Amino acid sequence: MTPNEIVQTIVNALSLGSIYALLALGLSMVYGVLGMLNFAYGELVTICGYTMLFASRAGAPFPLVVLAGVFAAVLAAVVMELVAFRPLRRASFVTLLFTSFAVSQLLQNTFRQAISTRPQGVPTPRLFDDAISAGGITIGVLPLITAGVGVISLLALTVFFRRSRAGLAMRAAAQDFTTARLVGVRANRVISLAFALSGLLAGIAGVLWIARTTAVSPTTGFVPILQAFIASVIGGLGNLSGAVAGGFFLGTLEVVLQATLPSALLPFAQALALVLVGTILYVRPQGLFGRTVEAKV
Amino acid sequence: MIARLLPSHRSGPALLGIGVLAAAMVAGAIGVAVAGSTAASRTFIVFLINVALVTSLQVFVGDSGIVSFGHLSFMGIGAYTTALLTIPPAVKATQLPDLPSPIAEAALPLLPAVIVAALVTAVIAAIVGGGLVRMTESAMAMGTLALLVVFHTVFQEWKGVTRGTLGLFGIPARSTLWIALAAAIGFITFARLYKESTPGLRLRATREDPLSSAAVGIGVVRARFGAWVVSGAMMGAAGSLWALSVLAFDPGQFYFAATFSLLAMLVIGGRASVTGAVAGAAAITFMTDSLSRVEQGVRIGPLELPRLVGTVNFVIALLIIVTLIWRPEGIFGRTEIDDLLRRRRRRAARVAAGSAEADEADPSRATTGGEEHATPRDGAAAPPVLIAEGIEKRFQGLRALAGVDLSVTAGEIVGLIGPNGSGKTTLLNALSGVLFADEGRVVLDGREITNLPAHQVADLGLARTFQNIRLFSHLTVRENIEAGATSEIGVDDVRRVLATFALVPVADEEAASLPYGMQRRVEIARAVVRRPRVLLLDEPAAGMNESESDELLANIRAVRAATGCAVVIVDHDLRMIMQLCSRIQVLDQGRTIGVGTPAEIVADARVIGAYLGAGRSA
Repeated sequence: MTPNEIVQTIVNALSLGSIYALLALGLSMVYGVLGMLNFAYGELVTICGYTMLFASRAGAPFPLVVLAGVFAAVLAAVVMELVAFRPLRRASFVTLLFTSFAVSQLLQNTFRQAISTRPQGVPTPRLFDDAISAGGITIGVLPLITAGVGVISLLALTVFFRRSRAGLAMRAAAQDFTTARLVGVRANRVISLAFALSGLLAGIAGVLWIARTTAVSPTTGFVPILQAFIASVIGGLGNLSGAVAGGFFLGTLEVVLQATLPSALLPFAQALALVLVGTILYVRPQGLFGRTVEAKV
Repeated sequence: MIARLLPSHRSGPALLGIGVLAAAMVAGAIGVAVAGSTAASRTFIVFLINVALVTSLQVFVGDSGIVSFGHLSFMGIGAYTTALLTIPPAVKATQLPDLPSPIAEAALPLLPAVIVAALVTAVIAAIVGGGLVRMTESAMAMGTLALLVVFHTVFQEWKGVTRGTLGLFGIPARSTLWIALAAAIGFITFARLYKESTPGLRLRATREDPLSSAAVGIGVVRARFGAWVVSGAMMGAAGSLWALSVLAFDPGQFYFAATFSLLAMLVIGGRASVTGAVAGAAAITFMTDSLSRVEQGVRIGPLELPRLVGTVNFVIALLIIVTLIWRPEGIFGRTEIDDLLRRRRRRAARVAAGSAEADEADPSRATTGGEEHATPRDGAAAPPVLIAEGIEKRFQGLRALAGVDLSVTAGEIVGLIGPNGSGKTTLLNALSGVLFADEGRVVLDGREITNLPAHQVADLGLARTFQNIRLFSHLTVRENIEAGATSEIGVDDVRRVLATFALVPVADEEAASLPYGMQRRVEIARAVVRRPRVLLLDEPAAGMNESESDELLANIRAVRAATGCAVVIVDHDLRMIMQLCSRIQVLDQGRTIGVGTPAEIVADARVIGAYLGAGRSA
C-alpha cells in the first residue's frame, strides 16, 4: 500500500466507523435504560432520508435539508416510544424485541405503499464529490466531512454525558434503572430523553449515510442498523463507550476487507466480517470491550 | 430410561393436547380433500408446512426464551439440500452443470431426502451454535441476525450450487396433502414431547432463571445448545418438505420477510405454547392467503383497487403490535389446549386432595431418602464434608471476604451470622460457584471444587437457596422440583419431597402465584430433592412469622435426619439459629470473628460488639 492508500483507508474507516458508532451508541443507550433492543431503529435513518428527499424536492437549501432530516428522526423516535413501546413498559425483553420488529416492518411497508419500493436519489452538494490533495495525498471531501462530523458529535455527546445533569441521570439510569428512580431520576423523562437522543444520533448518522449512498429506499436503514447491532454486541451490550469502539472496529474491518479482498470474494465482504466477529465472540462471548458483570444474588 | 427422559405424568396430558390438535388438522384435511377446491387444498398444505416450520422454531425460541432470527437459514439449508438431491439429473445438468457427480446424479425419494436435509442442517447448526449459545440472551438474538445475513449471502453468491438469485426449479412434487398432514402431526408431537421431556423441562428452567438453573445442576449452555441443534434439524426437515411442495425457490425466500411472518405466527399464538404456535400458523397462513389476493389488485364490481405491495406484512405487523399490547405473551401465553380442557377438572380435584394430603405433610414422618442417618452433634468426630480455606473475594476496591475458613461435617447444622455486609452471602456464592473466589480453596467430599462452575458444583452434591427467592416463576411447583432432580431421582422421591414441605395441594400451581412463605418452601424443596451432601440456605426464614419459622426449623431437621446432609444456614432470626445450630460462625467485615456453640457465641464480647456497634458493651 502506498502512503496515499493508507491515509485513504484510515479516513474511510473513520468515516464508516463513525456512522456505525453513532448508531451503536443510540441502540446501546436505549438498551441500557429500558433493556430493550429497538429493532425499528434503522427506520429512523430511513425517515431521515425521506425527509431529506422531500425537503430538497421542496427546494430547501442543503443545510435546511439536513436539519429537517435530523429533526424528523428525533421526532419519530419520541413518537415511536410513546405510541408503541410505552404501553409495553413492563413487558419482557422478547416481547419488546418483537414489537419493535413489527414497528420496523410496519414502517417499511408504509414507505413501500405510500412512496415507492424503488430507491430515490437524494441530491447532495457537488462539493461532496470533490477531493482534496496535499503533499501527494488525495482524500475525498465526503469521507473527511463524515469522519469529522462523526467524531465531533461523539465528543459533544461525551461532554453531555460527563458534564450535564441530564447526562448524569442517563448514565445512572443505564447502569441501574431501579436505583436511579429511587434517587429521584424521573423514569418517563429519562426514557423520552433516551429516545430523543437516540433519534438525534440516528438523524446525524442518517444524514451521513444518505450523503454516502445518495439515495433512499424503504430498506435504507437495514444495512447500517445491522452493523450497529453487531457493533454494540462487540462492545458489550449496554456499554456506551464499548458501542462506540465496536462501531469503529466494525467500520475499520469492513473498509480493510473491501480494500484487500480479491474481487471474486467481494460480495462476501460483509458476511466475512460477520464470521470474523463471530469467531472473536466465540472466544469472548461477553464482547470485546464488555466486562463480565456478576449478577447480584 | 424412557421413563426418566419423559415421565408419564408429563407425557400423558401432552398426548391429549397433541390428539386434539391432530384431530383438528385431520378434520381440516379431510374437509378440503372432499369438498374443497384445488386452491383450498393448496392453502391447507401451506398451513401444514407452516405448522412444521413454526413448531421447529418453537422448540428453541419457546423453550429457551431466546429469540432467533436465524432459523430461516436452516430452512434454506434444508431446502437447498433437498433440491440438489431430488431434482431429476437431466434438469440438474442444465441448471447446474458443474455439480460433482454423486450430487449431479442423485434423485432421492421423499424420506431419504428429508432425513439427509435434517442431518446436514443439524451439523451446520451445531457448528454455528457452539459460539452463539455462549452469549447472553440479547447478544445471541443479534448473533442469529448476523447468521441470517451470512447464509443469505452464501445462498445468493455461491452460484455454482444455488444459481444465486435465479433460484432452483424442477423439484418433484412430493409433499402432498397427506404427507404434509403426517409431517405436521409428527412435528407437533415431537415439539410437545420435547417440551415435556427432561431436557425440555431443564431448558424451560433456564428460560425462567439461568442462575438458579445452574444451582440445581443444569448446564445452561449445554441445555441451550441441545435445543438449538434439535430445533435446527427440525427446521432443516421442514425446509425440505417445504421445497418438495413449492417446487422452485430463490434466496429471497429465506430472508427478512419470511423470518418476519414465521416469528409472527409464534408471537401472536404464544411462543411458549405449541398450541399457540399452531394457532398462530393458522391465523397468519389464512390471512396471508386472503390478503395476497388484495396485493394482486382486487376488482370489487366496477371498482378496481390498485396493487398494494407489502399489504400482507403491513397487516401482520399491525396484528403483532395489537396482540402484544393486549396479551404480551401471545394469545395462548404459556397455556396448552390440554391445560384448558383439564383446568376445571383439576380445580375440583385439588379441593378433594387438599384435605387428604394435609396429614402427609407432617415433617417428623417425612423422609427423602429412607433410613435415618447418624446425626453427630459434635463436628470433631467425623471428617468434614465441606472445607473452605482462606476464601477471599474483592469487588473492585471492596474486600467482601478477607480470608474466611469454614468446615462442616455430615449431619451438622452450622449457622452463619453477622451484620449486613459482613460477607455471608458472598461466602455462600463463592462456595457454590456462583462467584469465583479470588483466593482460597473449597473441598467438597474430598474433591476440590474451587472455582468450578455452579452447575458442576451442584452435581457434586452441593445445593443452595437464594436470599431473594429465585424460583422458575412460570413453571409449576412440581416442575420446579423436577427440574432440580438428578437422573437418579424418581417420581416417588418428588412426591415425598412435595409432602415433606406441604406442597402437594399446590403442586400444579405456577410457582409465581404462591404466597411468599410457600415460595420459600418450594425453593428449599427444590434444593433438597437433589439429596445434597451439603445444603446452603440463605436467609430461609426471612419474612416468616414465628410459627412459619418453627415449621421451617422442623423441616430442616427432618431433611437432615433423612439424608444426613450438612447444612449451612445464614439468617437474622437468631432465635431459630440458636435452636437449630450446633455450631455458629460469626462474620464481620469479611472476617470470622467467632466460632462456637450457641452458648459460647451469645457470651462472646466481640460478637456482641459487632452486632451492637463497637465501643458499646452489652
